[in-house]
Amino acid sequence: MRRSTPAAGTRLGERRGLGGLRALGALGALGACALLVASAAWAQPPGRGAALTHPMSAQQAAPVDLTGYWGSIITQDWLYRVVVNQRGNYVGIPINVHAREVADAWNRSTDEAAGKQCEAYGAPAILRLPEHLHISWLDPQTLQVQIDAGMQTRLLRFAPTPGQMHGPPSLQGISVAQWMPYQEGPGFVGAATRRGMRAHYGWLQVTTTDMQPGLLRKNGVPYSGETHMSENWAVNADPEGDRWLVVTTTLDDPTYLQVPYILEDIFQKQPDATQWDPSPCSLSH
Amino acid sequence: MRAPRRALLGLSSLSLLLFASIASAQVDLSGNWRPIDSPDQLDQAEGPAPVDYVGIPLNDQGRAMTATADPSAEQDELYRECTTWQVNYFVEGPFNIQISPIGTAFDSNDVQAWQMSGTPDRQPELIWVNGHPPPPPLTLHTYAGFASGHWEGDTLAVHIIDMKDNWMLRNDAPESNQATVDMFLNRQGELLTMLFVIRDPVYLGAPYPRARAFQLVPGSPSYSIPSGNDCMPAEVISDFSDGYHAARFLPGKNPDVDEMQRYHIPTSVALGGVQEIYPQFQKVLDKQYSIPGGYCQRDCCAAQAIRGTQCPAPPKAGAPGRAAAGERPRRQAR
Repeated sequence: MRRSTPAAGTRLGERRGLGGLRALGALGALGACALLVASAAWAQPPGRGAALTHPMSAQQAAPVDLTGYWGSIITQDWLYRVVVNQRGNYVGIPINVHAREVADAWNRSTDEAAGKQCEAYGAPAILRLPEHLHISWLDPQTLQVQIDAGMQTRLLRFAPTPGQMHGPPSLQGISVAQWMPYQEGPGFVGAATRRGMRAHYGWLQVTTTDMQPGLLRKNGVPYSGETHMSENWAVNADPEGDRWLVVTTTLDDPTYLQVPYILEDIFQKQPDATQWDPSPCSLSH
Repeated sequence: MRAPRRALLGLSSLSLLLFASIASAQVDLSGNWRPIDSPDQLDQAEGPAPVDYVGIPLNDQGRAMTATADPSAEQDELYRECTTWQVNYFVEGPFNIQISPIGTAFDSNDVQAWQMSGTPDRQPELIWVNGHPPPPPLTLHTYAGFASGHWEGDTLAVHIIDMKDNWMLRNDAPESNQATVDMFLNRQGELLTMLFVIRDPVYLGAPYPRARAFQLVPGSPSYSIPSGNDCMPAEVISDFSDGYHAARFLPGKNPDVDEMQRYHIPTSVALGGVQEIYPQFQKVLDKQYSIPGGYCQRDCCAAQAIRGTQCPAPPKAGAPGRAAAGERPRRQAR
């Protein structure tokens, strides 16, 4: 496509019978426009220079719009996500012997009586559940992800203060986010990013720590407080107009996993909040 | 009026040039990619249960097909022996994928197409990124179909048409020759995430997305990828070659139709359906579902064959596995 486009422009001129002078005129216009755009991209007027001095907020720099309502689409691992599994069914999770012992000894009734219903709604597990997300900007540096299942909220901070970097273990832990704008290769996008302008492609990288122990599944499969979680959030739009959010999660738990547990969760963009249905945590559903 | 027209022409050319430069800024996808995640691991390692179609948005016609499918026998039909897998099996199977640029050297940023290859039982998928026109409407469909792609930043967005009818999964979840696939290859460092969105007006009532992550493996693949499918149909299965028998069950005669009830999944749900891929279905199912009691004895862990880990031993005798008496053989990964 890169090679054929300028040639197509030439063919267009030939079909319309432009003479040499007209072609030169068109080339002149092209050159002038190129100069104009180049100056817009590279020159440093006072306002633009100020923007470089004060970097854009995460909200301004967002290469992709994650905000709005999303619904999970459960076409993979359905049997382990939609229903609560039998004790001893740990398919697909690379648990070690210690984890199996803990899971086998886990008792639903005991934890329910102790009010621990939300232990299966922590950050490592919550995107697996059948649910809807409501994503919005809490402030220009914090993306808020509200989840109707268990009525949980995750905060993805792009510029956490030192006090926000660590804290007491919590269900959703501390998440530090970073845009990964597309920068490779030649072309306008790379140049724009270098000049402090918003990139138009990219994904979100999130690292989460400081989580309290919880359950990966509602039949007792544990994760520990040592768990380190990294996520890539990417949005794809297909030609039919559907937008798909794919979150690729890598869980590294030296206590309970043999190898990192990697999984994908797919969400479809919702037109509105019609399906939003907050419900309390439950270990039985 | 000529000057504005020239200016417009110049602006148009410039716009095309700028957008063309975006479109042509390709990411290097080449290499040997190893699947590293575990979605539907039991399906990948040992094959899905015969009537396990949960989470597939099948319409009534699709459900009728799944209710009569006989996956353990259909592959023995002579004309299906050498059937290759659809492109979406790249995210279903347990094998590596080799991706290669087609054209001049990659450094020239002049790739005309990308080729995805797997094992010999699937056709290489050639993804044109040079604006190659689609074939005429009545062209012969193939298992690979016709794939055209374009770059959206670091994502290769691909649209695939003109595929033969086939199976989506190893248990004969059907896919018609009217199906289309939108595929997104998104490289995130050493990770390659693939998203497939299947649409099929014949058998599906909603888009069917599937995703999977792969990791770049340095060096060449550990196995040889032949240039094509060299399968030769030879063995004659008497039941299916006499012209009178088909490898399907008559309606209501499928002996496996209640297979998923061992998980307490109602048969009506096991046959697939549009509503069951959405979160609100959980509350519908809650009224019909109870957690199975006791300790899991079968299909409880699955070997983590992809990344070499082992299932921890169960706490008591009777190792979980597929050896349940009377279980019908399942289609193996090919």
